[in-house]
Order: sequence, then C-alpha cells, then structure tokens
Amino acid sequence: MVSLDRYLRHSLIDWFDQDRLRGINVIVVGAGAVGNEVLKNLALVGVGTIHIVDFDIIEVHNLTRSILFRESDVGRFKSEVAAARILEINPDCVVTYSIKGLWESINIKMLKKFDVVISCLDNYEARIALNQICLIAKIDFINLGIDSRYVSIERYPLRLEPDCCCYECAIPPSIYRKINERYSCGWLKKIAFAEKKIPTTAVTSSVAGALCISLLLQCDHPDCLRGAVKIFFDTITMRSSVVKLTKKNDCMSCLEYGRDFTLVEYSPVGDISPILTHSKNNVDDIMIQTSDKIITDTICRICGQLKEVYDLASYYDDSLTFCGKCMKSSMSVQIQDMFTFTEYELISFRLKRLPKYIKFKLGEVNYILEGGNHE
Amino acid sequence: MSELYLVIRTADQARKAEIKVPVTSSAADIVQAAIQNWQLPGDTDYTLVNITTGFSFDLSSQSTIGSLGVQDGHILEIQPVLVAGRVCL
Repeated sequence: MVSLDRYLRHSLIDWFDQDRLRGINVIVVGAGAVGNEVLKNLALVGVGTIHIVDFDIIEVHNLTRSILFRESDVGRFKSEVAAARILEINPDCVVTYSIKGLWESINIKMLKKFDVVISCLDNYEARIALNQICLIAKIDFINLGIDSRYVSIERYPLRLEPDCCCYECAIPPSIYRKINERYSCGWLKKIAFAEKKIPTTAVTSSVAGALCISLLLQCDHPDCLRGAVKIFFDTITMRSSVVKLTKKNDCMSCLEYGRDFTLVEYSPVGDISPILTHSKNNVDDIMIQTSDKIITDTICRICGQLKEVYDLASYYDDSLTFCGKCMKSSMSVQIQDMFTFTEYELISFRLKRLPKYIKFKLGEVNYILEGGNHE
Repeated sequence: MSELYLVIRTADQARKAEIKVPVTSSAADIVQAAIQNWQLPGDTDYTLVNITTGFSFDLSSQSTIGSLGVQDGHILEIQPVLVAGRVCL
C-alpha cells in the first residue's frame, strides 16, 4: 500500500487506482521539453518505476520549456538532472537514467520488464526504432509530438493488443522520403544536411505531458479510450479530435517485428552454433537480418582501392565515399543488413561494433539473438 | 453513386472546403490535392482523419474512399505529423 497522506486527494477519486500506478514501470525516451512534463507528471501521480533515456546536455534555450531544469544546470546531462528533480518531487519513485543514446540504452530483455515506453523524441528515425523494439517486446508505446501550436499523442497498446496498429502503420509515406533525404547510399548521414528546428513552447509541451499521463490514468476509468488512438489538440482554438488509428495490412514493421520471437542472449555475437546444433536446416538456407546496417567495405570506382570497414553504418557519414587517392567522391560503399549464415559467421568476428540484435527463422521458430553495445 | 460530397479542412480550420470527389479517390489523392490547392507547407508531413467516423486513413493504401466507408457529408481533416528537428538516435 502507498502513503495515504501524499495521495489523499487521489484517494477521493473513486476510479483512481494508486496501487496500480505504484506498480507501473515506465521508460521515458527524451528528457527535453515534453519529457520534462511527462516525467514531472509521472512523479506527481506516483508512478512506481521510471527510467529516463537521454544523452543530451542542457542548454540555456531549454529553460523556457523545461520545468525540471534550472539555469545552474546548463551543461549537465538532461537525464541525470531530470532524475534528481523527480526524486525531489516524489521520493517514493524508483528512478534510473541513461546518458547514452537510445540504441545503447535499451534492449529487448530490459524492455520486457517495463509496461510502457513513452517517446518524447524529436525525430522520426528514433521513433521508428523504438516502435520496432516495442513490437518485438510487445510493450505499450505512447508517442508524443508537438510544435508551436498543436499537440499529438498516439497510444499503441501492443502488450494487450499485439495485433493493433503500430507507429509505422500510422505515419504517411512522405516521412520515409524525408528520412532518405538525410542519408546517402541508403544509410550514411549527409554531413551537410541542415536539421530543421521546430519552434515549441511551454504551452504545447505541458498539454502533451498532461494528455499523456491522462492516457495512463484513464485505464481505470469506465469511459477510457480503447485500442490504438490518436489525440490531436489545437492550443490556439482549443479544438481537439480523437481518432482510432487504422492498422495497415501490409505494414512491414508489423510483419517483421510483430511476430512472436524466442529471445536468446548471445555472447560473443555470431556464435549462434548452439541454436543450430539440433537444426536439420542447411545453414545457408538461414537468412540472418541484423538490427543495424553494416558497412563491409568501400571500393573506389576509379582506382579500385579497397578498404575494409566492418562496422555499423550509423557511425559513418557520406565522407566515407571520398577517395583520398583520386580526390573524388568515388567510393562505392557496401552496406547490408541481410546475410546468409556463412556470410554472417565470417564477418561477425571482424566487426568493430556489434549490431544490437540479429534475427532469423529456424523451422517455425523466429529467433532474436540480442547482444550489441547496450548497458 | 460515383461521387461524394465531403467537407475537407485543415487542422486549424483556416482552410475549409465543400468538395465533390469521385468515390474512386484514395485518401492520398485528397491530401495531395489539398496540399497543392491550398499551398500547404511542403516541409510538413500530413495525415488524414475522418472526423465524422473517428478513424484515420492509411495514406499508403490505394483503397478508394468509397471502400473505406466515407459517405456524403463526412468531414475529413488534414493534420500535420508533429516532430521536432534534432537527431538523437
């Protein structure tokens, strides 16, 4: 039982289940403007366990929208400061944090211990990656978005309704075109690409934080929203809409990541032979998909110079296409995320960094082998 | 019935029109026409929702609005997809 004194006013609400909230484990990804509001509210209502992921540092311009940060915090890690402040707000909460990027901070095994992931991110790629890992772990996903006027909250209840609409079912195809504009050769960041800054205010971030927590709370209310839903709020006209999100029948994420997987921890990565021991399959019939794109090598189309890379593509930009000998962007980059078993066995021991996970199908069983560089 | 009379509007309702569209139109056709005719910002992504029925549309689907249950008088709203602009993967 939780403290009746602290939660006295909550206890007067007949549908409010404080003990349920105390038992909820939440991951908040992104501790910026929206993340601050979500975290503050999670602590106030008495959510039991909160894990914060953000590698970013507090800058002075964050202070106009971030309730948990002070001027003296500028230069400190957002997740570290946010964790300390929400513990001040509610010492009953168990709060942990990571100052690494999303991919280094979260893994499937860890996610399965949580009830919901709340995305307070500011880009599509990270949202898509989160959605995919939530589909694998079958954990609820709440996505928040704001600009200077509108607030959008989407809830994907993947735990209770694993066949519901996912984030990628709901986004328009134009988003993939936008993502592609940021990369050359499929997955190399364009170094000259200027990120667009979206204006936001404390108004939209606080409305987003309030609506998000309301979605968490309302599970106990008889009139609560069911299924995958989107709430869209206009902070100028105060109009809002609630729509049910429609599942896309040919959504590649649902098809690829929404299946049931057998999760295996593996170390060293690549040593999948124990799983294959009892297999009657020809190993080269097994296609292995890596979670991260891998650059195997680069070759100059002019001088033929070959350079071995064997690393994750996300660590490189399009300067990799430049040949120092020919002084031109003439290097072809070999990037792939699908390998035969033999191919993967050959490259896995040469990789500088490991993919977060690999997945493959053996007989009727879908396996995910999780390793990689995570905490 | 080969055409539907619909109300289409932007989320701020600054743009609103009663339109007649073929039942064979897709949701993406409607969004594209709205972006062009109303010169909506090209650097924003949009979704389409049916305010009357409370359902979203799949913009990658070639399904016709007729087959998706859209009827005369329905209100369709074009909503921006909200995201801020820094990469933190």
